Amino acid sequence: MIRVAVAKGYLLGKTAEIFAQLGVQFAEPITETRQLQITDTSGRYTFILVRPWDVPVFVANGAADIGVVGEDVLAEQQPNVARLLDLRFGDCQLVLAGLHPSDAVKPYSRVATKYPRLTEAYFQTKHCPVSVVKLYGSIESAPVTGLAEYIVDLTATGATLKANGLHCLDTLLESTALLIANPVRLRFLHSDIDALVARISPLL
Amino acid sequence: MLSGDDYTGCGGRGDAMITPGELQDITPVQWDQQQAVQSIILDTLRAHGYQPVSTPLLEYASMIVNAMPNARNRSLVQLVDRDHIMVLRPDHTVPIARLVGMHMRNKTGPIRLCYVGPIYYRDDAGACVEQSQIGVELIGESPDADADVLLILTQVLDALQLSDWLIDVGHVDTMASGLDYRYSGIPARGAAALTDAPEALQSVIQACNHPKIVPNRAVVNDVTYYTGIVFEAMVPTWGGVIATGGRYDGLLAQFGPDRPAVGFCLNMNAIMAVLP
Repeated sequence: MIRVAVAKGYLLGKTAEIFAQLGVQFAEPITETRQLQITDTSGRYTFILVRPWDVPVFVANGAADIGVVGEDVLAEQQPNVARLLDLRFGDCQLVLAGLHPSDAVKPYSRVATKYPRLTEAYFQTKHCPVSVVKLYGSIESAPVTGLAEYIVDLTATGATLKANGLHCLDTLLESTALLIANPVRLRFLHSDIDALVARISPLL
Repeated sequence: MLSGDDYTGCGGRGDAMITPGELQDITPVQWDQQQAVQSIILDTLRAHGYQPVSTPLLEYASMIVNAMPNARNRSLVQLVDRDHIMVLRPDHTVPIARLVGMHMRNKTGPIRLCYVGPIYYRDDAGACVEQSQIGVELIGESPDADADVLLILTQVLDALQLSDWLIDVGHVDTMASGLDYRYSGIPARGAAALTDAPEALQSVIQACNHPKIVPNRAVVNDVTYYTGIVFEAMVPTWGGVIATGGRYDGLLAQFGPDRPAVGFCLNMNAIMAVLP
């Protein structure tokens, strides 16, 4: 059996669609279940439903064998996991945004983000000292409330940025969903995971 | 003069009741459990002629970084002693290579050494972590001895009654450079990994002739001193490797006569966690 860590929401829906094409069925609709672990009718896959930021934690520690997670989360956490496949859904960008268009970031500005590592690395390459304010959500509120002058956040369509009066100033990272694996579990399940990747690839 | 209060950190009520970072005490019950497991391993190693040695907890940072250029400042636990930067040893192999260069320079024939003790590094959050290790170094033998060392590791894993362990063996000349398989595909494991494999890897797999010792191109070498085979032992109930090892033919020359060498170490933290 292969244990798959997936975040509830959009990524779970898309992942379940791909597995459905492989004939993997669940007794109840997986996107609506209240269970946190759900095994398919054949008993070959158990989906473990977790928060997006916890997918690499489950996989890196071997509590899940494989997982589906955005490249943005991997880039920020740099977990010890193998990257198996670009699943080519969940496209989004990690962007720098502020209240005024084409504003050069002033040194010693404050930048609110869920991605402190990537944000610090970005401003280091720009030789621009900033102070990073770590938030866990509603990042777009930071500039208008005066918490920070800028934000670094994930956006798919730009609609939330626009709705909060923010302008995209630069793109730090283009992200899609990736299939990842625990390097040790990949040894124990080598042929099973290899076969799974070979069946998923043509569907993308 | 400094009083105890001057050493109080930012904990407010004082740091008397906590240990730094991820460092842990060992209580009497844990001590007995660890000693019992260590004895099983050491008895197996000593039965093969490996003699215990010990090196200091502190080493000069320059010595460690010269021998392990990728030991990042971020992951080393450093301190300043007078005018020297010191590190808590992040590894046993480099200090033992130094020990051999200093004290066993004129010894002829193979040298079989084993060790027990902690190593230190910082985790991703920057906390100091102690990992207890037991390992062996076989110095002065060519790659013909690689299989002997691998088979000693199998005896240790069997003596611990770990079930379902595996050992994957790679070679520095053909291993994947990282863990990104998106463009290359998942590296071959088993018979397929032997196609175009270096002679040294082919012959060690053949010499071991053990169903649980399997060639794998995915074995990643993040220790820069390895020059030949690199191997990892795993069990199904632990998400990381429980033992690692490899051949390091260039390291001894940094401290004395140029001698080939091979060794492995067991992560005792992981082993204590997976044993029933």
